[in-house]
Amino acid sequence: MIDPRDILKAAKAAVRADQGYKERHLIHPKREWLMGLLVFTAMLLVASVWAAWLYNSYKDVRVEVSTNTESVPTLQTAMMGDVLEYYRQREARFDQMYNSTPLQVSVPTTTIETAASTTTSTTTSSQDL
Amino acid sequence: MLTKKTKIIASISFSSLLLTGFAVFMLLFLIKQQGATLEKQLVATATVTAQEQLHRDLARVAEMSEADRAALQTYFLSESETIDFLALVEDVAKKQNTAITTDALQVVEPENQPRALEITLSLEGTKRNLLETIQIIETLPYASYVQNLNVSKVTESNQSKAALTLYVILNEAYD
Repeated sequence: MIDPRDILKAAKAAVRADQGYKERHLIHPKREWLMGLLVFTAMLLVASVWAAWLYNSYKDVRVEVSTNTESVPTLQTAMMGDVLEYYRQREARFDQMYNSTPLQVSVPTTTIETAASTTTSTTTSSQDL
Repeated sequence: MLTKKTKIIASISFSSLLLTGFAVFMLLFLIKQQGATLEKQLVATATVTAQEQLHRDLARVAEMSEADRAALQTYFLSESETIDFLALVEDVAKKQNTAITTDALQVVEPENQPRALEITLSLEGTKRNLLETIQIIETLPYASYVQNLNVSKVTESNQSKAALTLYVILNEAYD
């Protein structure tokens, strides 16, 4: 008669024998491909993020160049025209006075104390002219 | 248990990974460096472009104003024309029958003002002739002005005397 204990013992032995089966595969293509793909994907993601960051940082590059306007000579056309007009009138007046005989220069007939002129500092002697 | 072949393959794989990572980060570093260079080059390009534009503007202004500037130049006396200028002044006086003497002639540089020729003249003649001469001298077609004028009557005669200081702004462009 078979003792139940023997059955259990045989079952345990069978289970142990199954657990003790050693896998003899040295490489695992699926696992290694998966790992490779994961690493590649991670690197691709990092590179993509970096590239996106670089693109974003250079996308709106604004170069502000300020030339030194203080040293840039400018021409005040209106003032130049006024100055030219002044000297042309002065020249015309000089020519008229220099070439006319007798000169039509208004001279005060009364005795004057001070000679009028366009000077910045004009002095006249106290004697009557 | 890892076999020798597995260890070799694992070592090669790990080395390849390290090399690839190093290469990738080196490339990224180079890209960043090139970006900084690009910024500098952009600044340099923009500066040159601005200077070119400025040069074109100035050249256009110089070309447009060439005639006016040449005309204006003629109203400024250069030091080499001093003798001619004095001859003109003396001619003006002689034409008005006024005796003229050049007492002093020197180049002065007043503070905050351009270089000028300071001419001190003595004039003598009738009152009318003297005033006419002074008036003509005041309108000489040069950038000049009478700085000082002292008129007096010569005692016991019909003559008047004047001491006149004339400033003529010098044109330094051609000196």
